[in-house]
Amino acid sequence: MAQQIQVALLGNPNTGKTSVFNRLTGLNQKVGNYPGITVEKKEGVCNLSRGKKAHILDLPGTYSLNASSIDENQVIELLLNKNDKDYPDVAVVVCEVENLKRNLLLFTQIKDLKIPTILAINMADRMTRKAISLDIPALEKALHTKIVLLSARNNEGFEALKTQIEQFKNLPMTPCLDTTVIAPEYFDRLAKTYPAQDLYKLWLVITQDVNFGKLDRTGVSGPISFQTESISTLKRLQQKETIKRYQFINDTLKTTMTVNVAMAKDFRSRLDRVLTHHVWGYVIFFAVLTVIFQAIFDWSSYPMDFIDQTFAQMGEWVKQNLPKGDFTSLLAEGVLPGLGGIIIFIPQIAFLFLFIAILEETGYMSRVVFLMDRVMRRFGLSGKSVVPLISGTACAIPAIMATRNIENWKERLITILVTPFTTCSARLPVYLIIISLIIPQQRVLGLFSLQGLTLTFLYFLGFASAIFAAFLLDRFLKVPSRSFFVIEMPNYKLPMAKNVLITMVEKTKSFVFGAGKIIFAISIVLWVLASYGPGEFNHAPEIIDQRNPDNTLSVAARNAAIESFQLEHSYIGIMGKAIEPIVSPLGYDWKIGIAIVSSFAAREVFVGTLATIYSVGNDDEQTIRNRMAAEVHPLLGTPRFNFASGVSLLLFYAFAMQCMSTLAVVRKETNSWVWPAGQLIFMTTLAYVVAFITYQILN
Amino acid sequence: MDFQNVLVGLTFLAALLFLLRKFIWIPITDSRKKSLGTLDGGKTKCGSDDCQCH
Repeated sequence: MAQQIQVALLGNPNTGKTSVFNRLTGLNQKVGNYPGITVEKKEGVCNLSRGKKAHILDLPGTYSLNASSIDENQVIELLLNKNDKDYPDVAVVVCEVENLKRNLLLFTQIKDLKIPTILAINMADRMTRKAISLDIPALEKALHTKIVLLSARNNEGFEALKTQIEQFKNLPMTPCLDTTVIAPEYFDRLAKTYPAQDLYKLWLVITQDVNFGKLDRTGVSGPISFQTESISTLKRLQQKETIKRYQFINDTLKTTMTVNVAMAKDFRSRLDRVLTHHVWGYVIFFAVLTVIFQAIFDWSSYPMDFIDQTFAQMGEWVKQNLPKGDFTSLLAEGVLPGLGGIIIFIPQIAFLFLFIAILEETGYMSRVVFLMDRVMRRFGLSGKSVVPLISGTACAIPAIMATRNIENWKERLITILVTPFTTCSARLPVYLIIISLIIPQQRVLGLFSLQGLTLTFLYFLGFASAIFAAFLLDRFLKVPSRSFFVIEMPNYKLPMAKNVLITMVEKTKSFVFGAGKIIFAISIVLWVLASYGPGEFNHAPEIIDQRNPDNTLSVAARNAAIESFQLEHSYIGIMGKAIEPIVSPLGYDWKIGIAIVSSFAAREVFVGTLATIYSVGNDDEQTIRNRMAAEVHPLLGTPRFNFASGVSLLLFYAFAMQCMSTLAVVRKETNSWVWPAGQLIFMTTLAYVVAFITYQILN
Repeated sequence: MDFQNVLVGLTFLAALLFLLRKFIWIPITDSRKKSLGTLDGGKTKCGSDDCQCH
C-alpha cells in the first residue's frame, strides 16, 4: 500500500475546521481519544489523485501555540515531536476570511516551526457579500506559503486544496518571523548552548508550563550551564512575541486585504443586540427551548409508536415460531423488551441532538453562552461553565471532561460537581415514559402540549438545581481566584445539513451503543433473576391450589396467580422486597425499587428494567407503555403510576445521581473518591427527600 | 437440563461477566494508574503507557 501523506488540520475555534475535515474525508473518518487522556481525536482519509491518499488529523481548535488547556497541548505536543507517528508532512491551517487577522497568529507560529504549511481561507463565499478582497499572490509572497480559498458550505476549493497537499514538497519552508528579535541576547545564549536545536522549537518548549507527555526532551536536557530567565521574564517575552507577530500580520494585511467593515457588521450587530439583550435575550432563549421540547414530543410520537409495536410483534413472533423453552422466553421476555426500551427513544434523542446541532451551527449557541455568563458569574461559575452545563443536556460524561478548559481549579470543581443536575439524554426516556403515563395529552392555550411543557419544566429544574448547588458550593469552597471569560462570537450562518446530520447520527449512535450494551446485559441478568427462584418459587402451582381448595379460579386467573406468586418469590422479587421499605414512602413498589437500583448503571436502564420485569408472565399487554399503565396497586386496585407516584419519580430522577459512569469520570477528573462520594450522597439524599415530600403531599 | 437451559446459563454468565468487567474491574484498574498534579491544581492520569507523566 502506498504511504499516505500525513496532514494536520489546524485552526482557531469556529473557523469551520470541522466542516473542512468533513468535506475532505466524507465518511472515511473515525473518532477516538488521544492516549491516556480524553481529548477527542478525529482522523480520516482523503482520496487524492492517481490513487494517492492523505491521512487527515483534525487537531483541537487553538488560538495559538501558547497552550493553556489540555486539548490545546495536544496540538503543540504533536508539532514539536517529529517521532510522533502523526507528525505532519504538511499542515493545513484553516482561517476564516472575516477573522483573518486573528487567525493568522497561529499560522505564523506553525510556519516558524518549519513545517510545510498551506493557508486555507474558509468561508470565501462571503467575500463578495462582505466586500472583502484579497491580493492572493501578494499574500502568498508575504507569508511564504500557498493559499487556497475554500467554501465548505458550497464545496468549493477542495480540489485545489488536495492538489496543494499532494505537492506539499514544493511548499517554501521560510519562516514568517525571526523570533530572536524579541530578545537577541537571550536567543544568542540559547543558540550557543544548544547549537543543534531549532531555536523556535526550543523557545516553545521553554515557554510551555505544561506536561508535554510525548515530547522528546532528551536532545535539550543536556547542558546544565544554561542560565534561564525567570517565569515572569519568559511570560513577558511571550507577550512580546505575540505583539511582533501581530505587527507583522497587520503590515501584511494592510497591503493585501481590503474590507468594507460597515456593511459587514450591520446585520450581525443588530441581531446580536436582540439575542444577547438582558431581557429579550432570555425570553428568546426560553422560547427556543420550549419550541424544541414541544417538537421532541410531537414529532417523535409516530416513529416511537412504530418501534414499540414492532418490538411487541417481534416478541410475539419469537414466542410462536421458536421451540418452547427458557431460552425462547429469555429472548421474548428479556432481550427484546430490554432492547425495545432503548431503541424506542432513538427518535427523541435524534431530535434533541438535531436541534442542538442546529443551534451550534447557526452561531446562536455562542450567544447563549455569552448571555448565560452574566447569570453564571453570580453563582460562582465561570462563563466557560456554560458549555459543560449545556453539553450536560446530552451526557454528563463528556460535559465533565469539557471542564478541562476552565483554568481555575475551584470553578472547574464546582462545574464538575453540579453538571450531573442538568437533564441529560439518559433521563429523557424516564421522563418521557412517566410523563406520558401521568400527564394528560392536553393543549394549553390551544397551542402548547401539556406534556411538552412538563418536560420543559424538568429541563429548567435541572439547570436551576445546578446553579443553586453551585451557589452553595461557592460559599463552601473558599478559593479567592477567578478566571476570565473569552468567547468567540462566530458569524451567523445557515446550518450545513451535512454537519448537522453527522452530529445527529454520531451522538445518537454513541447514545444507543453506549447504553445499549449495558441495557442488553442487564435485561438478560434481570430476566434470569425474575424467572428463577429458591424454595416456594418452584412449588407455585401447588401453593396457589392449596390457597384455593374450592377450585373457584378460572384457568386464566389461576395462571395469573401462579405467575404473580413466582415473580414475587423469584430472586429479584426477594431483593425487591428487601428494599421495598425504603422506597414505599416515595410511592413505589418493589418492582420500581429494582428498576431504580438497576438504573444506577445508566438512568435509561429504568425503562428497560420495568419493561423486562413487567414482561415476565405478562401476555396481555405488548407495549412498554401499556404494560406500565396496566400495573395496579395490589391493595388499592388503582394504577401504580398515578399522579403522586409519577411526580415523585420524576423529581427523584431530576435530582438523583443515578449514573455509575459519571461517578467514575468525576473520580478520574478530581483524582479523589471524596468528591464523587459527596456528590452521590448529597444528590441521592436530596432526591429522596424531595420525592418523599412530593408523594406525601400529593397523595 | 435441556439445551435451552444451557443456553440461558451461558448467556447469563456472559452478561454478568460483561457487567462485572465494566463496572468493577475497569474502574478498579483505572484508579490504580499513576496520576500527576497539574499546574491548575487538578490531576491528570498517566495513561496506559505512562506517557502523560513524563
